[in-house]
Amino acid sequence: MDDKVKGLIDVDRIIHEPARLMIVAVLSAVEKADFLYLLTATELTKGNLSSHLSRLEDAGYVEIEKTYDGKTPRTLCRLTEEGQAALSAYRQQMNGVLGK
Amino acid sequence: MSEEKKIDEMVQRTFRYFYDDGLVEMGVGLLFTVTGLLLLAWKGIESGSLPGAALALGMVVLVTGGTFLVKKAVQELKERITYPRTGYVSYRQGEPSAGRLPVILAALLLAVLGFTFPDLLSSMAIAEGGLLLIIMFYLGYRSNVWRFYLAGVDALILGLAALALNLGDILGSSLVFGGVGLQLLVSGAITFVRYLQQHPGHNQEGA
Repeated sequence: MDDKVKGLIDVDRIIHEPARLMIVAVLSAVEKADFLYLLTATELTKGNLSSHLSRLEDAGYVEIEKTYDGKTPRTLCRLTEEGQAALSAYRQQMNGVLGK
Repeated sequence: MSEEKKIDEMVQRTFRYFYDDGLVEMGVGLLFTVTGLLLLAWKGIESGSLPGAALALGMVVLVTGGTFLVKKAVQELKERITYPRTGYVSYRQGEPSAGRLPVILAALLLAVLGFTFPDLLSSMAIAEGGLLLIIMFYLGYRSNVWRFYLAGVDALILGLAALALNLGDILGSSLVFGGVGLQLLVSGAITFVRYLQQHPGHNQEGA
């Protein structure tokens, strides 16, 4: 099998999904971001964002921490080292498959 | 658009978010404007006099404490205005514009050196204009905010104008810092008003 085709098959499906890729890309640029910022940046609906974050959390790519800012709930999200490594690997794979 | 470009754009947009509300620009603009005004006042005061000493102290306080206070004030305003509207982001140490504060401090220290030891540099205004050009272009490149490029070009033009008009180091520095400071204050204020128009109310995250 062509190496490029094999690379496409092996691509990380968790990150490859466009909405999750956006979330991971945003979180790769910061230490932490809250749910509201991710909503603004990705323009996803609350339900969609929540579901994608859960998927990323289950994969160990994102850590989610529920806190309060005064009386307002704040959900803080952070990319884990695994998530950062997965994003780097994904970028390398896609560069290999599509060429840069 | 390739995946790589999409990721890079999301990362750059996240860095740009720091400047979306105009508060940082207004803070830095205020700092520069006050520096320009202090330099202007210095020009009219006899060296070695009591007001001269008070101004020298003012400059030291501005250089050491002003940046710290502006940073605190911007953070406090972001907590009250920006984060409830468009969300909270905590950047890594040195981000979103690595080395920003040291470079600003270096520019201010250069100004202090310039009028303390006038012979040290032949044209402070040009040196400061060049330094600000580099800082502003760097910020523009990192955040893709065109206003910073404009401020950088203006800094150099003001430095050249100071040289052409033979204003001397103190007055020339005052022109460069005051001019760029005012420009940043105005562009920051316009950005702030636009931000408030686009995001009039607080949002609940409802996660």
